[in-house]
Amino acid sequence: MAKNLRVPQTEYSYLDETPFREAYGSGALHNNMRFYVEGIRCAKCLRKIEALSETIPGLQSIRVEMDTNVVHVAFDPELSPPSYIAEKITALGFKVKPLIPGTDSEANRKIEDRKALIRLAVAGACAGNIMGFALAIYFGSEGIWLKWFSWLSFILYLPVVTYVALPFYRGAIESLKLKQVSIDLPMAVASLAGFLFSTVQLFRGERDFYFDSISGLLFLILLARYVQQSLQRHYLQVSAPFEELKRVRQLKGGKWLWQLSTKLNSGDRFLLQSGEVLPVEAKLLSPRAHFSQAWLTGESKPKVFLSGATISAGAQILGTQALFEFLKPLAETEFGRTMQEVQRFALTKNRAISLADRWTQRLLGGVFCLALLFMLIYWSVDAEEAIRRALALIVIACPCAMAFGTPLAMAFSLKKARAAGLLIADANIFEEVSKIENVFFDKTGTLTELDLSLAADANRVPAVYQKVILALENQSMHPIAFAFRRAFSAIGKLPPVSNFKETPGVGVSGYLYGKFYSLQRDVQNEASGLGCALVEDDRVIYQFAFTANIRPGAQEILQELRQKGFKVSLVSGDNSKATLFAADKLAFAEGEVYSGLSPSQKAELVSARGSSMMIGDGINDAVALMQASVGVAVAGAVGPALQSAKVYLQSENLMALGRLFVISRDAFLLIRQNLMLSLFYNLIAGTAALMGFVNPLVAAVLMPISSGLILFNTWRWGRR
Amino acid sequence: MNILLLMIPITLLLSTLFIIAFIWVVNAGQYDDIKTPAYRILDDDQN
Repeated sequence: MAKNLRVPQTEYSYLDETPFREAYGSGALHNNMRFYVEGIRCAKCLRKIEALSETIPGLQSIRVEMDTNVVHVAFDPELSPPSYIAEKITALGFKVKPLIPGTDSEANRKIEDRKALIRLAVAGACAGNIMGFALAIYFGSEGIWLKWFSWLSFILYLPVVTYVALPFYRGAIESLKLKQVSIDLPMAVASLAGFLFSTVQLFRGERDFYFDSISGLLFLILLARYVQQSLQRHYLQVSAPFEELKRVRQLKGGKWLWQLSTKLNSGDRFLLQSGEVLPVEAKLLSPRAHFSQAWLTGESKPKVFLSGATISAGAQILGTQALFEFLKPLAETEFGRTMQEVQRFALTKNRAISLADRWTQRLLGGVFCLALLFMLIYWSVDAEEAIRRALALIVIACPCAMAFGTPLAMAFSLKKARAAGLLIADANIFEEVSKIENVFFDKTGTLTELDLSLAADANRVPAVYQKVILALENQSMHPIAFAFRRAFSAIGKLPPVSNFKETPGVGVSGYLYGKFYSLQRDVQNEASGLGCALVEDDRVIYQFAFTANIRPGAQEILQELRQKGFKVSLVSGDNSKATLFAADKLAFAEGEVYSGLSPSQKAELVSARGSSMMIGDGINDAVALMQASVGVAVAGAVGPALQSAKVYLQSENLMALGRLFVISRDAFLLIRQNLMLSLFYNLIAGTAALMGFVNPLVAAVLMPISSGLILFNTWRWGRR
Repeated sequence: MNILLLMIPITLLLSTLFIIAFIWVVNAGQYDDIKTPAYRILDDDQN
């Protein structure tokens, strides 16, 4: 029945249909779309894509954003439908994915970015000018000039105290609400108290102001924060294209139409093609079909299901197309619940209290208490001097190292990590990583590859049989067919096959050169994965075994971690046979291997031991990735895994993981070194302030020295 | 010293103008993407 109907084949045709046009397109006419385009690397790529506006009629504009890999298009739907544009870009050799239009958070991020940049500019301009005037005052301006320069400093400080320092006030209020002390609090206090004190001095005609030192400090902190932010944001840009609307071809009125999987109703029939992932829970209507559940359960071997079976959402169909009947929407399946949990987690990501935060809290608590105590005691001696010295203490003890040394150190480390192929969502993980003791690896897709490969040497098969095999497998989408194609790559024209037959779960057969050949499943040969045999007229002539290859760098990184004394474990949802086979190859000891785990069992294992790192790729790893102190998603990981992890390994090679440990340890050491430096400085400067040796001039000299020391130390390390 | 009476207002005016220009430029989106234009300029226009 359904087989006789023409199934829409082109990859992007769904983009033209109304529900998708409305979902992906923005603007009143839904004629603005954004595509995530992989592979734009040079000026030539840019030119090729942007030149499409000259050849596609009705393409009103096309603009590439290389930093984010996003291409913006505006088109006339009558003249050039979006599918046509997407296909044209694909034809140039790029991978194209439509993006769901600007979610609120994304639009907000852009606005926040611009605001931060403007704030930075205002802070820099004010601070620079104030310092110029302050310099004149320090060098002894008198009379009318003193008055001039003081008033100018005051006027230029107004935008600082009312506008530049706003984020610090906000941060301070928020932290007070949570009954915590954050770095924003002393900055807010210094900004306001310094302003009040200096203004009073101004009206009294005195010459000691804090305008210059405070505005300079605020500028430096904002700068460091901006750099750290923009480096962290890269993670979000990479994970964005993984949010995708799930679609199926629905049978409607005798025609196949693209439909959003969320709009399916019970009883609706739809079709999936080879390689597609089932977006809902459904009943299989086709006689039989192969499914891979590698992402869902970690099982490496494809499974055969027969007509009438219930297939869970998230399974990937292999080899053939199949017809389904809708049973349950995604939200009611286990897969959907995992996704929801991950999204909730992504929204409420709890920031771990870091070393720098703890030090800040203690130091600040100490400074404020000391200042207050000193004021109370000294009040009877000299009230004005008491205020003056307490304020000097607060201003001078502003923990510069924590305020900008830490973000700067993190920014440097983020940059180093990026060069090593590691994207990091939250710089605070550097500290977490340096405390890790247990490292958990997922098997399927993490330590091993998802694709199967021919286990033995391809050259033992003569070219004529290679041809036979490739001819038989020519049409097949089964993983074995791909493995054969990769192994026997040097073959030219293929002979024709007559009476060809493909039976899912059994194999392929047909006549070639007058002989009957079949490639069939060989259950005896399945110790490590899948087995199949080539049969020539009822005689088995070759047997093949297929295994999932070990990922490049897996052995090396495991050895490195073991040498460094980490406790490594293998946690897999796959059956014990397949898991033990891989564990054996990777030299895992007996107590380190756990197989047949459900997603929640995995998570329990990981969270049961403190300071653990989880490395995974699938939906079944997502919960464990969230619960681990540090979750790492490997290249090729699916959306939920990426969202729940905080580190993304961009390269296929696992060796980059070793760099993560090195970079984190260095970052942690540097942050601690900076903290020690600032503590040392604070002890000396704080004592001097209370003894009355610190006036604004001394502060203006001492504070840049301490900041410079921190800057120099961080920069020196960053260059290494 | 009297030259300062002229110089200081000029520097202040200039820095104000620069800030205004910068705000305008940022809001016009020039800093949203700072990577692509560097490549775009490399393209020798055949037209």
